[in-house]
Formats: sequence, C-alpha cells, structure tokens
Amino acid sequence: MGTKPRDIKILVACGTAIATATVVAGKIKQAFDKLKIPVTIVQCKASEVQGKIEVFDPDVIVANTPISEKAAKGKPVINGVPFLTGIGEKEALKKIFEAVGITPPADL
Amino acid sequence: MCIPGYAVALMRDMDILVVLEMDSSSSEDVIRKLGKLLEEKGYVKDTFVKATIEREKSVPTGLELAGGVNAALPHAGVEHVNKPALVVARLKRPVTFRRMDDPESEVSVRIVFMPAIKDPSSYIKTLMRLVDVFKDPWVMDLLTKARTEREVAQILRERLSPSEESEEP
Repeated sequence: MGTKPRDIKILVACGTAIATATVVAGKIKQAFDKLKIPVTIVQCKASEVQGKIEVFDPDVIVANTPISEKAAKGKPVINGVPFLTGIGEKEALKKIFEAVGITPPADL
Repeated sequence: MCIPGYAVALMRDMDILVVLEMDSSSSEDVIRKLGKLLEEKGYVKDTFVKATIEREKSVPTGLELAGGVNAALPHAGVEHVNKPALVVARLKRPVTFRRMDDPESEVSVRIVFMPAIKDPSSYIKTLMRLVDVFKDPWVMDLLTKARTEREVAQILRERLSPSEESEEP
C-alpha cells in the first residue's frame, strides 16, 4: 500500500504499425482501463522492434506477425492476432497480464 | 481492367464501398481490382496497389476466423492514401492469403476488407468495431448471405457506427 504503481509498458508490433497494431493496442488498453491499471502502449513496425526495445524497454511485446527471438532480446512475445479474430483472445489477455506481473481477473 | 460494381455506405469518418461476388483467381488479383476501384474514386494514390501487394508479401494479413468464413485485411501505408475508405469484397470463390500470425501457412479467404487508412488514431474506434465484425461469426454469416451490395453496406454501417448504449464516455 502507498507504493506508486509500477509503470507497465507494452510494445505492440505489426507490419506497418497503422491498422492492426492500432486495433490490438486499443483492445489491450480497454482491458487495462477496465481494471483501472495504468499502462503505456507504444506501437511500431515489426522491423523496428529491436530498436524500440532499447529506447522503450517494454515488459512485454505483443506482435501480430512473428518476431524473432533475437529481435525480442529476451522479452516475452505474445501473439496479438487473437485480438483480431477473437479466437483465443482471453488466453492472450491472460498471458499479457501474467507477463507484466498482474494476476488476471477471474471474469476476464 | 474491369472495375466491379459497388454500393457505398457513408460513415462519419470514412466511406465504405461494397463489392459482391467478385471473381478473382488470386489474392494479388483481389488487391489489384479493389485497389483500382479505390484509385478510380480518388481515395488512394496510384502507388497504393503496388505498395499493398508488396506489404502483403512481407507481412501477410490472412485471418482464420471462428465461424469458418475467413477474412484478409490487405492495406498499405498512410502515404499512399488520399482520403479514408474501406472497401469490402465478397468473393465468388475463395482465394488463398498467407496467415498474419503464421506466414508459412495459408488460409482460404471469402471476404476481403481493404482499408485505406490516412490517420489511424482518428478512426481507431471504427477499426476496432470492424474487428468486432470479424470476431462475430453471426455477423460474418450475415455478410456471407446478404443478397445485395446495399444490404451488406447497411449491415456494415450499423455495425461500424457508434451505438449509443455501448459507447464508452
């Protein structure tokens, strides 16, 4: 109690960082807003991930297109496509919460 | 090239163009035809088609959906767009797109949604509602069964417009 909440940072990557990353970032933001947990989400192109990690230092990467382990630099990578198809969306959200150290709510 | 017939639904932030029973042999052909339509109507620049085809090669957009009616979301960067639009095409026979989440594998696509995006942040809500259409097998089924372009345009306008009750403050 009384401690300032840690700043949670999520990097969302897609091919061009205009359409699908925007939507996935929006869906993740909604989920965090619902729980009143502050979160900073940055979008980038898949090809920019490596550089973005250095400046942004995200807790987790959510990618709509496969990201190499090398590019991810040891950060956990979660598939963002479930936020576009609905298939496995809750599971993906649960993985994000777990990756940033938050217990996922039961009524996700 | 034959530009397909279409219906338009006007939205506050973007126009929706609907094409039904488009006969295409490949994903590239679909992108070419729909891109030409957008170009003809002034929504995109003449670089849009090539850019979309190139983007699809490096980062594909095929999505496998729950109801079995799969979709693809080919698009290009904002620099190729004049004014925002969304063209939706239902294909006479499905074509193959590579999967967004697994570019090594393919998915057979019946409905293609091709957005021309100018400034993503200004119509993020429309894009998010579009994704809610993807996720809802019932709506995808409606889109598959609708008989006219106008009917599809009407369904999409209803689904993509803000609904008073569910909209957050």
